[in-house]
Amino acid sequence: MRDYIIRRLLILPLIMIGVSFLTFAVFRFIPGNACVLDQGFGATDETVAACQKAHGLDRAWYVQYVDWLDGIPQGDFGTSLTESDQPVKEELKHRLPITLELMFLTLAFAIILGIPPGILSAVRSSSPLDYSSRFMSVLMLSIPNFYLGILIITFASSWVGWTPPQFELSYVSFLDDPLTNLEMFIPPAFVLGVGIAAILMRLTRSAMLEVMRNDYIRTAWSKGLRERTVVWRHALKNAMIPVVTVLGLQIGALIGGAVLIESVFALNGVGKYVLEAIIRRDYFVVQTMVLLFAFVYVIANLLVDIAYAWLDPRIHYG
Amino acid sequence: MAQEIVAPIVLEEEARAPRPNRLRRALSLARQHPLGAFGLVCVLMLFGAGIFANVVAPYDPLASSYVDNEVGSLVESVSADDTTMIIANPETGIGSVIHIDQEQVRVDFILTESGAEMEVEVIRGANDTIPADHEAGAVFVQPGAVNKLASPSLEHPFGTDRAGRDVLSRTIWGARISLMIGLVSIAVGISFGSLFGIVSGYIGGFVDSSIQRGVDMLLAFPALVLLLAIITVVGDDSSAVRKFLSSSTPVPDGTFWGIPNFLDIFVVSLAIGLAVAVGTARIIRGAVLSLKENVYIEAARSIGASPSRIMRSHIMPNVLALIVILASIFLPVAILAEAAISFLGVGVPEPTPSWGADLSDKNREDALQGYWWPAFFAGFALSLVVLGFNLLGDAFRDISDPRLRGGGSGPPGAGRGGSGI
Repeated sequence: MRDYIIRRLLILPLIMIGVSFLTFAVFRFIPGNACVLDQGFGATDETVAACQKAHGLDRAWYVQYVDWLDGIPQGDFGTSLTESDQPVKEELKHRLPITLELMFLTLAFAIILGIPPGILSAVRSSSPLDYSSRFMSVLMLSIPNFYLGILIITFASSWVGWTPPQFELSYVSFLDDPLTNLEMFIPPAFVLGVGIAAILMRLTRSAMLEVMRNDYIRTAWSKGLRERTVVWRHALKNAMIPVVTVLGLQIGALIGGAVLIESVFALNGVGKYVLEAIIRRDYFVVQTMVLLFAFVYVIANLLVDIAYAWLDPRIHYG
Repeated sequence: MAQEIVAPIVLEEEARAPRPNRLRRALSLARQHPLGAFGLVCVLMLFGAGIFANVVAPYDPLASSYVDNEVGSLVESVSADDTTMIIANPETGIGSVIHIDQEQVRVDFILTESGAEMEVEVIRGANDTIPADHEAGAVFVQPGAVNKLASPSLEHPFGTDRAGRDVLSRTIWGARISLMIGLVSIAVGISFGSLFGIVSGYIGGFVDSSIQRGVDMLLAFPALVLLLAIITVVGDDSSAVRKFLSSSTPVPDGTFWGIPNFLDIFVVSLAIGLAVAVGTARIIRGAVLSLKENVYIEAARSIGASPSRIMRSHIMPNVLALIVILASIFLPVAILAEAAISFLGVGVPEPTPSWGADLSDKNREDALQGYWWPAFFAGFALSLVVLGFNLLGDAFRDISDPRLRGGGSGPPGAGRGGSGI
């Protein structure tokens, strides 16, 4: 197991270099970058050239790439090409906590709203509870999260007079003012979470139904075990394997969702940052963010693999 | 199609009268799976509204509608030769033209003013209209004002947006845009993805591992971020793809099939198609890997069939069913993807009626001011279509695997659209 984890971690830099090189190459294919786009109509050849020079964009492409890679171990990811000239690292310091809190709460919502109803739905199959939670899940699966967000903001403001606090304030940390912080994060996390919860609920239900048909479950019943024991001790762990897989796959969807939801709920997190950077072709920002996402993706999948071994002791990684 | 499949299993007497029988079977299926039937209706509505948008939509989705605003009224009746009149109209000033019935009068002088009522001296029959008698209470109109943000009414069932465009018509035309983008991107994505998947899986070795490492890298991007990157690269005004499309292919640059800026829409579909191709290639490759172990492939190889012939005549037909399934799974995903990027402002440009674009900035601001309808109906249509595909997919699975009624048992990677993207 340990060897396996080490081997997987060794591949990580390779994937990240590949991904970052791909981003680097692709964005240099297209003419125009943030130097030009940010200056707008005021751009002259001289000002653009000065901006390019200041960021080292006048050098050969491989020099630029290696130079950028070289800075990463020291935590230097380059600076934004826009007029703010903000180092990417500084910007991340403000933005990462926002997105991390959003994702943490989203996952909490997804798991709480997804897995227990899925179990109940399978155990009480064909009951009104089953039908209603199945209907809710297919409904939540179908409503795009950004639309749900807009609906909530629109109708909350016109019916209850509530607007998200971040429309007036900037980020408030949980330690400073827990209530405002939660008021900021609960609605977007809920919106993002119900979609994932719907996927988890359906998956948990079908996995549980599958597992509950197994012989060892029949044995457990025939031993006279209580329902709670059969479900929790015998069935659940085995049913969780596909659920954990999909939960790992949802990391990508979670980042995509953050891009959308942060712009709906005016949260200045990483998602909005990468959206703006892609549109303005702010090279170093895009490269860094893609690197970060690839890192998260690989780590999440590694965690999924580790979770398999815990859920099913028969799984070994040689 | 259906006839060939059904015919062998129907008894002879029944086969003689297949029509009512098939109808009855369809009806009983619909009764057993009412949600699936509802899903089918939603999907058919998408196709119907998309294909017949120009017939069904009551108005031009791009044209502003105008309305004669009531701006005041006549307090006392006047005859055709009166030059003073008492009016109730808070906005009248010297020089303004008042439209009463068919006549126009120009305000020349304000004699007295009390509250909203004023006595004015007027020039009758302005702009070559004919002076006439008017009853007390006749209404002044301001003709041709943009009928913006009108709430839903009989005339505009879904209301109008801030440019006075009919929201119902935009919603219907949005179906055509969604359908267009969905189908084009699926065609592009599935064909490229299958090609790479089949070649990668069958040839194996170095070709396989280089294609698959490429796919690995692309899959490490969050789907939406990948899509945004592709669209910035491909969609740029000076991009090679765009230049190639407009100069060397018959893709029209202007309006096509009633869709303005068709080239932009086509580029958006290409970008989505590329993202779809990545997922397709991985899944098809997996299927090909197990397919190629079959004895008949070995037999074909042993009689000297070339790899391209084996892929074309032996592998391809056998993955066709999977390709069709993937297309049906990815269609709503592509529609959602278009909506998401248009919502973020990088997809379909104004003023093309797209559901995603109609959910974005301006309509969202209006929604916060209480004008909820322009954004609401666009999102509602989008949700309904995705719901339709999901319900239909569930029903198909129920029918083919009754053990798992309503559960989600597809391959994890090929998860349904939902809020994924």
